Amino acid sequence: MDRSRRSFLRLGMLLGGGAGLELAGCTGQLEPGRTRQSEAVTNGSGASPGSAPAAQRGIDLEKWKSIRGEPYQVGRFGPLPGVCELPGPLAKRNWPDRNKYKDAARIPGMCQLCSTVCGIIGYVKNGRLLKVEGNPNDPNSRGHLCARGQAALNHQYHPERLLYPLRRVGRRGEGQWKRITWYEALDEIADRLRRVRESGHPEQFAFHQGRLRSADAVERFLSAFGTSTQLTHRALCSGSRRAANLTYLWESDWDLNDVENSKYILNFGSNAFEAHQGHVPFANRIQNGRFRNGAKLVTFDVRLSNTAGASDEWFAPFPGTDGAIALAMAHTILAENLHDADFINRWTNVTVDELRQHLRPYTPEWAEQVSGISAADIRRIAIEFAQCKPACTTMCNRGSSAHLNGYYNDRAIHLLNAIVGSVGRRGGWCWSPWSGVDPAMQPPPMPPRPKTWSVLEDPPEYPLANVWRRMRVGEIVYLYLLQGREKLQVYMTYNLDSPLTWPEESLTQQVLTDESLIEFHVCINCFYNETAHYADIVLPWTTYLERWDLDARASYNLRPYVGLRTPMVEPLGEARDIRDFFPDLARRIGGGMEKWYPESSVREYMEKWAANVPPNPKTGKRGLERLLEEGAWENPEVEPYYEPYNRPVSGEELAGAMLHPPRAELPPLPVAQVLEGPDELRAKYNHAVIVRDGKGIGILMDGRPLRGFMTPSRKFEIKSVFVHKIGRNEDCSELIARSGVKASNRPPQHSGYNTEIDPLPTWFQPKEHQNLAEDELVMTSFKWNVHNHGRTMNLKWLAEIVHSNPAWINPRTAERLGLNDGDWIEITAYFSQTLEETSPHLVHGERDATGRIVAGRMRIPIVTMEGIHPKALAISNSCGHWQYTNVAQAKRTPPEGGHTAGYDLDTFRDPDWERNMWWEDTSGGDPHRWKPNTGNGWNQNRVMPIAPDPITGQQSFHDTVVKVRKIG
Amino acid sequence: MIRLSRYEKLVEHITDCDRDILEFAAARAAVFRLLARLWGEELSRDLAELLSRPPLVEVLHAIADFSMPSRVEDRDLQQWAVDYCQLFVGPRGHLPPYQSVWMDRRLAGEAAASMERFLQLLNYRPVWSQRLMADHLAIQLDVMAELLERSTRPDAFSREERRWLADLLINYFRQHLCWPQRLLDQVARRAITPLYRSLAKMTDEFLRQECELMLGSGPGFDVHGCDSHP
Repeated sequence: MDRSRRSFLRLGMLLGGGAGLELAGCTGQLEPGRTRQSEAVTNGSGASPGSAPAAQRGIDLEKWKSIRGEPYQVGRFGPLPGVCELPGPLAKRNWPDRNKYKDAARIPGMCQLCSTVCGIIGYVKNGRLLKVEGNPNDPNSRGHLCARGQAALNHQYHPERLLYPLRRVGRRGEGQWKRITWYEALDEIADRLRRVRESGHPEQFAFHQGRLRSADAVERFLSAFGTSTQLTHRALCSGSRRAANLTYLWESDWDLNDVENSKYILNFGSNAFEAHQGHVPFANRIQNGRFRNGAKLVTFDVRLSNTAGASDEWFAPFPGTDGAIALAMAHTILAENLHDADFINRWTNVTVDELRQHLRPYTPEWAEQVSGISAADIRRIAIEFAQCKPACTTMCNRGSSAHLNGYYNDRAIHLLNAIVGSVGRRGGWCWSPWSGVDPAMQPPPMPPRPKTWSVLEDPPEYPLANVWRRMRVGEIVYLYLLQGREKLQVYMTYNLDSPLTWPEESLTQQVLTDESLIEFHVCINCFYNETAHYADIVLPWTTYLERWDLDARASYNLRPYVGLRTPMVEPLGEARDIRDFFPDLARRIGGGMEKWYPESSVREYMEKWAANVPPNPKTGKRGLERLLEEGAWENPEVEPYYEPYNRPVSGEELAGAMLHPPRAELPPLPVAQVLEGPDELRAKYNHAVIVRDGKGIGILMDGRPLRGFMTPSRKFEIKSVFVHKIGRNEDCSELIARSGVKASNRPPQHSGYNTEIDPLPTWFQPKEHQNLAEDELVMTSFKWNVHNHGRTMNLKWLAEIVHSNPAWINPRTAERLGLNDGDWIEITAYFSQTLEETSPHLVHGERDATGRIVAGRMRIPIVTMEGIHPKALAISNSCGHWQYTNVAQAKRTPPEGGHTAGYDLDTFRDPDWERNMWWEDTSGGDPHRWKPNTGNGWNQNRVMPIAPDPITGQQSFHDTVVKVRKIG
Repeated sequence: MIRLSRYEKLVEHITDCDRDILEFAAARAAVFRLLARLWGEELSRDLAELLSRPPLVEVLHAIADFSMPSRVEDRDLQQWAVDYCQLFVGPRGHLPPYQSVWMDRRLAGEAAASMERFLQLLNYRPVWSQRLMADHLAIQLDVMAELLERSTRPDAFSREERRWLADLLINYFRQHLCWPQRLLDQVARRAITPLYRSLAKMTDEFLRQECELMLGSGPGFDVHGCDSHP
């Protein structure tokens, strides 16, 4: 026996011979009474506390004999008794393996790798997820699932997942951590939050979310606490489109184009085949419309997206001119008398003549001058579109709305549908009031909403950000904190990656680092990222495959439905969902918060919420049990939401109702009196609003009481008095009451912040776009079909497809600037000159020799391609992580220095990893050594200025003027 | 029927109630337990103070230059906790001590499922203050200790059963304790504190010896060694 062996034996003797230490397991500080993951529906792989009594201990040799003799499969490290392989490169070698899913449970759930929330089925065996596919029962996604959804396994079993709560050690942003227990974490957070409450400024606790699909849980917690400072990313996403929809409809902020039944689909800048909210069900229906219904798809987009490329025709207009083209098309349709006069005169609040007058200056020739699209094409497309009425629809999204003039762009686009009368028609431009879970599902009683106010949540400069819905203006949050307009005692971030995904990366980092601006930061996330890096406590969040939700989004079936997000597998490590730990936190904070959490488990809460799902006639299962089996339920008794304005108001609803005529000289009269009166009386009161208990409920249309639109005029409001008045801070109480919709006047804090909003659809061009210099381009942004904005670059199956993002430049532009494919450029980005005039509160930064404010500079290689407008430069988002996982950073080797450095080549020996991480960039940032299609790309937000649409607050991601200079 | 290594002899000797053999197994089990404790969580004050007392401190130093302060201060505990975190917990670029990560580059892979099977065979659930997945090195070391302890009960198994018992022990070791060499190499290189460099060294040395004893394949042990066995 050698010396070392003897030393170990001596050590063992000492330890086992009464060293005074119980080494057989540890006595941990588990939270009293807490049963971990007790809500999970499967038995997982976690070794949880609680050992068997000593008397029962032994070794089950009979079982060993049985499993020893029949190994399922030979994996890479020999037979593992009774264990099947996970999918992956080795599984591929064994393909087809017909036994792989033989005994696997099929568990329905819902994806959350983007906002579309497609229904999914997880195959689970031995507590492990083997595969994810689309759930055919989901009425919206119909069993389709995109590449992101297929990468669920990368997300679930990523080796760098956060598994334990962490506490910062050292300075914020330094990157040093230690593990703490949930007990310690919740105690500290509760103590901080209790102090916020006691300070009398509950609004100084802000909850800042990225993608949120547990809205009920967040609302419950914030309302119970007493703060309404809930910050979102809506203004980075869809604020202008939603505001444009609300201006016309009030009832819904989301148009659901009935493309499956269309004959003509006119697309302004939407990339629905890749990245639109709800893109999977939308793309599926677009293709059905085209190939089953013969629809034509025409796309206007600065860039040749996959949607543009798959269209029948693609036009590349100058950035931000979609609205000009749409107005010129409207002009053409009226000029050609292809409009639907009946719809305009009956169901909009302007006449055909008024429209003609308004649209007179917007000729196709005028639009050609600003957009570069020929007048002849504008005319031709407009005529084609109108000839298909009413089965024709526009579609749009960030391509048209993420501009300084985005609100007007989208109003102009939507107008086309009113002019041809396709609003609400089968195959036309539709919507529904069901933007989420079927309202028949009622969660347990909610706390009353608090009445606090914060400039971060309701900035007074943006009049339409919050009057209908709480859309907020996310991109100003850090700037306003820096300006001292608000401070935060506790800042809780959730599924958020603001330094990467929000404009002005360095400003965001500066504010997140400053403990005088944000005193305490709790970050809830599945992975460490650029936001977590600036946290004080990081809480490990469950994946969407480990937690509960009822979820749905506005369905293209124009009906309500509900889907179930199910914990398919047990949470790994100590990951917990907010549904699980918010009750614990509330009980610690106390002061009445705890009473809003009477349920003993998350499952009990879900059972109450899903109680109204009716029984399945075949299985007899109802409520949560039914959803657990089927995954989703759509109410078949609800008719699709076509032409809701033509639906009659019932006699019961009309009881006691009054008619308020559009002409002020006529007095209000009871509905019954007018309906039973002479024809002349009915004619006088034609188009009068039906009001009951002070609220509008319908409109008298040609002698029939109809529901109408949910606007003050009960018509499709081409001319909006409301937006004009609300922009000026005028009292709109009466208009709001007539609509019957929950909206609000602007609060007293908005006094003095007046903005002129045109009541009619119009268009303007930002000053800085009007005279671009030879070396200046308009920088636009886009999203890939395999990524969301900030969360998917860590998924290797996706990163392998897209991991880098050189700037797209047209070959003609490149030639003019002396550039070749693969060259590196320096771009200097400028703050908007238009915003300098309209929004002086945003102005910050240094001016260059030209007198313009520089938002930032960055170096990036280019790719030249025809698929981009010659005056535009396109850079995708999703790339350029610097704190996300090593996959997201495309790193196999550790960076030099730093104790949290990454891996070296020997760390992992997964051959798939080693073989396929071919895109690692070893150039060290040297343009001369950089090889195309390597590295993890560049974050466009390094130079993107904060630039909200002055009306809605929507960030204008596609408007920044950049100067381009060749380097190297 | 099944091939056994020379460890079979060792197991058979146990039935003779050979005191030395029993003590040998118990001592090995105790070392496995200590390693499990050190890998499974941050060093507690109790354990640190125990390890810093003679004669343990001298033995540990002799094995792996394991040096402990004579008096354990809060800052020592903090420093070790930070080092433990950056090495094994994260938040990023760390060295997750899970077999699945090192075999398949993902969490909760085949190794975790296999470990669950072994835990079921033993009807055993180690108790830890943190929730660890079953293929965590600490759990694997702890299960080995448990197996050794149970296998040394002389009257618990028949002669035929002992052959299967030896088979189980060998298979367990081969499948779940041969893999960590690369992890240990990395820990030794990236540890900030001497404590965790020593832990890597001590674990490496002990597992090499066990590998030689169990599999006769010394001095190296790694995943390639695993593959070479039936």
